[in-house]
Amino acid sequence: MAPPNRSRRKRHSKSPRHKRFGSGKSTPSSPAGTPVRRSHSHSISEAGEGTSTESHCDTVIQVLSEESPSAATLNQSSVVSTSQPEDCSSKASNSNYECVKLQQDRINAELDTSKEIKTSSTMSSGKLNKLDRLCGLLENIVIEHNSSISQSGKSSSENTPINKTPNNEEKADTTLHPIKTDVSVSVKEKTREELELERKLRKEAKKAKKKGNNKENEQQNSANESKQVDDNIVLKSTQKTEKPCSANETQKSQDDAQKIKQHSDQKPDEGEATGKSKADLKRERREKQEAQRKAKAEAKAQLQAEKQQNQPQAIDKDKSAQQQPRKKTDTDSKRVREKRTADKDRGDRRIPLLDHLMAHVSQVPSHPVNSDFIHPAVRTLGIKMKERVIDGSTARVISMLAAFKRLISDYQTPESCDLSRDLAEKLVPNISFLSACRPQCIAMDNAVRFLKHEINHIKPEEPEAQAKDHLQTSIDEYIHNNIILASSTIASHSLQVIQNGDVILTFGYSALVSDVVEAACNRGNRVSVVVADTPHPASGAAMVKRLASLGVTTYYRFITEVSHIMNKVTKVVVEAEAVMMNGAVQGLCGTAGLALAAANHDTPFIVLCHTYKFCNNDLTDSLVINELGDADSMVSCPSNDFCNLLTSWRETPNLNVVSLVYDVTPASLVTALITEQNVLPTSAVPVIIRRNYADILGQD
Amino acid sequence: MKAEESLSLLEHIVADGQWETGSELLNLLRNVATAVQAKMPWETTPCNMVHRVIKIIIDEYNACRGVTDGGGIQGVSQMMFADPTSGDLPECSGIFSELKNRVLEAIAEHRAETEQSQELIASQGVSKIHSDEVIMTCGMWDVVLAFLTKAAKMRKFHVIVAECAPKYDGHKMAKLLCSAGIQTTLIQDCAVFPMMSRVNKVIIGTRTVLSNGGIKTFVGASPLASAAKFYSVPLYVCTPTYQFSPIACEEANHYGSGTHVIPCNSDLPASVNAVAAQFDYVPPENVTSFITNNRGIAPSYVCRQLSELYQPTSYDL
Repeated sequence: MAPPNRSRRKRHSKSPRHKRFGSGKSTPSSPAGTPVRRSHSHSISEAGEGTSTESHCDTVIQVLSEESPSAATLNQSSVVSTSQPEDCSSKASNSNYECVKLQQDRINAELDTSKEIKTSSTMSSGKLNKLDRLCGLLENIVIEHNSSISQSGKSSSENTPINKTPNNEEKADTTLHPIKTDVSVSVKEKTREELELERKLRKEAKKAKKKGNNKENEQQNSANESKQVDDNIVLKSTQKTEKPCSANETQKSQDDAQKIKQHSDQKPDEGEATGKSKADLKRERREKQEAQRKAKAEAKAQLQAEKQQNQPQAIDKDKSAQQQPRKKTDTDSKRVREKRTADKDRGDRRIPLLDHLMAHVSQVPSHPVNSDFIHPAVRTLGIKMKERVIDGSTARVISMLAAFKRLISDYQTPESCDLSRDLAEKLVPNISFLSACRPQCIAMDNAVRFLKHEINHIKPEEPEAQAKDHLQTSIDEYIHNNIILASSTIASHSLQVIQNGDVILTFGYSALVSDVVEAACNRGNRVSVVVADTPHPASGAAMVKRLASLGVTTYYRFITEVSHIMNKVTKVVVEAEAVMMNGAVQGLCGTAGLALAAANHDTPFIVLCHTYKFCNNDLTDSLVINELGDADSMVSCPSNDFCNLLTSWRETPNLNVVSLVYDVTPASLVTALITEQNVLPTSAVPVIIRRNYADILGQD
Repeated sequence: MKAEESLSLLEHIVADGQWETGSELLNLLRNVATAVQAKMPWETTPCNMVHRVIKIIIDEYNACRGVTDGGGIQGVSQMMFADPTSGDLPECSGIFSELKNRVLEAIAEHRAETEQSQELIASQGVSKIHSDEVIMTCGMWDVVLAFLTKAAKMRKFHVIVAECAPKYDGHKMAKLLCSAGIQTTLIQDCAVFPMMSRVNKVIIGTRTVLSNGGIKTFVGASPLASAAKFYSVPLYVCTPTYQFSPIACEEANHYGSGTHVIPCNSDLPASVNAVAAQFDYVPPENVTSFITNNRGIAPSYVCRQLSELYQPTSYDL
């Protein structure tokens, strides 16, 4: 972002928060939510088609905007506004925002995130920025204070004679020569750092002893340690001789640094030999880096020691300069060590195979300091997605876009800002909040890219109201064309494939598959459906209910038993979460097993997918892009004997419970892909991406 | 447990039953077998024990008569012409006083072998499992647990346990494995295919080994075995020899009520057909090897093994 924007934003930060989200419309009595809703439902009624996805759409939006009717009732009563409104044009709309916010606060208080909300509601953002600045200043003061203490400590220690006990090896010689104090400082640094290194190496050795069974490794470690100890003894002896030759010592320090480097260089080889874990390798790398940093610091010290001969007045400055980098490495290594132990203690164990996936969080993420950047509609949506009230990729995409429509309608461009750039910036914390609540699926990713693309293409000279309208209509069109119309087109295309008397096997709940079945029934074909289901999430029951209400003969089976019914099934029809560029289909966990069973029995495996879910990845296995689900719901299994046997799995050593949400079916197992374009083979996917979505999906 | 119990029942019949000739004894045993098969057709272990004892009796009878039968291994021509479904047992009408004692001794020997079978299988673990491997298993089997825990004393490896719905005894297996010091991960059944690409071996137990080399076992074995075949992962079945059954046909699947399969909170309409199968069949092509008391057996060798264990004509009693 260009610097002028940033400075301007600072000025604006003094104004109360609500102004930024103040309603753009001039009608004071209408709550912020309803204009958006009206326009959306209007567009749906224009379409005139009453498919199930539209009604789904409506219910989703209803659910999102349920605060607005209550906001209307609150409007009459006086509102407690916690921040002082300065002059604002539409006071009523601001108070509306406060109502909405109050409702939000209530919801959030129920969910035990009251702390952050209170702080954010009581302080305006201007005050928060001040706090930040204060904290920064305090930090700096602390650092300088510490450095001054250590300096005074050193000057006092210079006067004391050397003791031969190892504790006082750090104290310098009696000579008050400025050069020597500097050198002694560097010697002191070195020894302290070497002590740290020693400590680390000892820890490493302990770990190696615990883990690996290689005796050679231990011997090497002890050899290294003894080498370290030797170095220290050498240093001590040089100090004791009372002839600190600055050049010699710094030379020696460099040699030692070299030796340290060698030690740490040896470490990675040993690590590979014993098969050490990632954490150990990381530690080794860090030690290497620290050793290199130390070598650099020593080289610097040498240069500065030479400079000191010419300029004795610059001593204090250099001392402090050397102190600070040393302090930083200390605190860095401490912080790193603490974090490592914290990670281990947290018991958030994952198998290394799935380390790259975000762990399942059971609570809504606590709001960061700038939580006022997150629109309340987005916040509600995040909570709902986390609680799995809104589930399934289509529903999530529709509800996310609806929430962003609200955000856009509530958005007001700050002065002399570009709407396109500023709005794109404002979107970012909202998107990251949603993915912190629940990792985004690929369809949501594509929808976000589309929205960003649209925002980027708004011309700077376009007036704000027009731009916002433009964005909202393009969102509406996206949903209408790519989801609602596409669903009915897919249903009509699939009539080519489904014949009279078919027994269709499907997996879990899918609105698209039930649309297809409904279309087939309306055509006059008699089909019966077998719904395969998993224990958690048990979405198949809802599917069975829906199909039975259509009058279709339904069977309910467990997914592990499909081999028994496969010989009676004529087609397998499944909806995809996403389709990759190489034709691999990402679906809910279990679809791949179905595909394999279908292939073994020579049954066609048909995948239904909207084209907006096509993405540019090429996946060959299911573990690279996936989501970790709630392992605790797995532990509370519906068995009498074994329910909750493993509730303390996080504390149990050696045990891990993993629940995958998605899996990837290889393209070779997929017979046909039914999209709104046509019935396609899987090799057609990159062609469609290039033709329709090249500008949105880009080259990555 | 079932094997030992049925063996003690048979011992009881041999020791205290009313019989004089070998044929009478065989008829008694035949009645036992038919009764068990009628009540519980899926329980093959008792019937296998009966077959084994029948073979023991015939061998001992022949030994008493002084006729050597080629050490019990039939010549190829005899195997070809003997009709296994004939149910004809050789006539053992001679009365020998020492037949009873010899039979009881042989049964005791067999009993000792049965009791030791779990340990014998477990001791083969070290040669089959190597360091740093990922092993997948499904459900709870004592034999597999013994196999893995014994190997864990010498090797360090990782086990992925599928929870094996609807029984969910995978949870119990995971708990027992992790308390034995093995790194364990519990996954859902539907996640078997995604995880299979990272697995080195699949080790399962079974209830029955069919005469064609296939197995009839827990529900969920069939998708597991297909996934292993897809990714070319070897599938080992740990089974003691008394589970080798002369049954060839797996068509007779036994269906149970589907009520435990339906999720608790949902209310499915009554018109829905919900049924749960009890067993799964895995064809011999998907099984790499059977790990039994003595050694590993390929699925194609199973019929030869059967002829060593049982009398060829007695398969269909």
